[in-house]
Amino acid sequence: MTPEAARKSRSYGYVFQAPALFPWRTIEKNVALPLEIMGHSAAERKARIARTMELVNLTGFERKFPWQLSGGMQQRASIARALAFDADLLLMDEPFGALDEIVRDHLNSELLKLWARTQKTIAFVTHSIPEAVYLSTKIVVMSPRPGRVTDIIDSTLPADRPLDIRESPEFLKIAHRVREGLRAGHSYEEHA
Amino acid sequence: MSGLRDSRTFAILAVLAVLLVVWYLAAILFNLQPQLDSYKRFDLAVPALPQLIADLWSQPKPIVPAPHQVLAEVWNATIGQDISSKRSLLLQAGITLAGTVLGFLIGTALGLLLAVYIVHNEAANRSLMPWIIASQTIPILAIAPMLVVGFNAIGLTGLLPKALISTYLSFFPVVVGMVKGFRSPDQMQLDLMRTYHASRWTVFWKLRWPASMPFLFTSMKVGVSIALIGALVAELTYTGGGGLGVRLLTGSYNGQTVVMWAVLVIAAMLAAILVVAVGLAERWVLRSMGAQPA
Repeated sequence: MTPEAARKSRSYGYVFQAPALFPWRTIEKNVALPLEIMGHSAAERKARIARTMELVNLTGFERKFPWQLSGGMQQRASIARALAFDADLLLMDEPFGALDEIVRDHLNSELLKLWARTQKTIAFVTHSIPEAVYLSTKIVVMSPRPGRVTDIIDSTLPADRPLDIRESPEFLKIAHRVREGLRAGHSYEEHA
Repeated sequence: MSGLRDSRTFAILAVLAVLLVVWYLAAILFNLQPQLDSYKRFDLAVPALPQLIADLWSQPKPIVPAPHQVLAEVWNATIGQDISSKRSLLLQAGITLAGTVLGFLIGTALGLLLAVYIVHNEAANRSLMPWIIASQTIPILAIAPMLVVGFNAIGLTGLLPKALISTYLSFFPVVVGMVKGFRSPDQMQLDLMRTYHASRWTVFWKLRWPASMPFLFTSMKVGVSIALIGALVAELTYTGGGGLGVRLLTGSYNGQTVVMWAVLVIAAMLAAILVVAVGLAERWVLRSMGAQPA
């Protein structure tokens, strides 16, 4: 399937670096946006909003406007929006890059729980090695300019991952391999 | 004390006080020579200062009428006048208001249509914008008579030709503002709509239109005040229908400076009311769209 065909058949949900919520819509209306565009009925929309808001732990904030929520909550709302129309694939482009470490940790473990519940395939782009190792079952290491795959690593970590798994030797071993892959792809020219 | 000095009312009143002082001084300065000439003509001695100033501030046809003369005329021509009388400035203001509002509504609609077309069509973007800007470099005073005569020739008379002059002026800020407004959504929001495979129509209604609302009201505030100017200029050209512009013209023919100033004051109040009305609509709409309270 080409990317064009995938887009046209609305087979992926996309989460950007920033929430990109529409400021004039409440959180539930933001989540409803793709549903409206794809022609779901009002009752269907309502059910899906309730379900996805619960998935991202935002129940109770349906009627708030984006500016009334913290950055992390806004990003969770944008994940809810990407989940709402039940696409086959969830694409996440450095979704937590702009958030602080603690919020990021929290959202990472939330994302794992979400993944456990939905079993949806998620392609997650990140610049953070710990984030990549913590979240992934398969890590694809890419080099910058030209973008090439330098390594593909199948994670040996168990599906159930508490936050402190990041200190285990196994975690560190995978992290090390990712780092090696990144280094191989990087050529830091001193005089570029 | 600081509460008083910080208050907006105080600031406005302070400016008003300064304006009044300058105005009264101007009324002395500009009316002095004609007043001295008139004493001479009637072989009167120049009176003592208090009487001289009193005379300067109460001339029947002064070059610069004093504020109280203008206010008295405003009062007499509105509250003190039967509204059905042609001398009533309320009646005349109503006529001007009708032209202004009709022209402004047509102008806003035209401006919106043009902006939608320009944003969605690259050819229109390149070809229309220079002409729209050029249209505003033509002095309205020059083109208004020609338009009115032209409309007359094809049988268009009365309110509509006047409104169309207002339209000619007021569509411009709406086009310029709304082209910017429709383009105000950021790339991420547009990309998001793209991932939904949303049609242009959907992108317009769900994203561009709501995103442009602040731009719309800013444009409309400019548009409504110049629509009033358009209506006044049209009335100077076509005097058959009445209106504040016509009173301005007859006042100038007859040297009734007090009347002219009263008309100006009423036109200014009319403009203020219109801008405030648009501002209230803005507050209401933006609040219902979840605008963050300032």
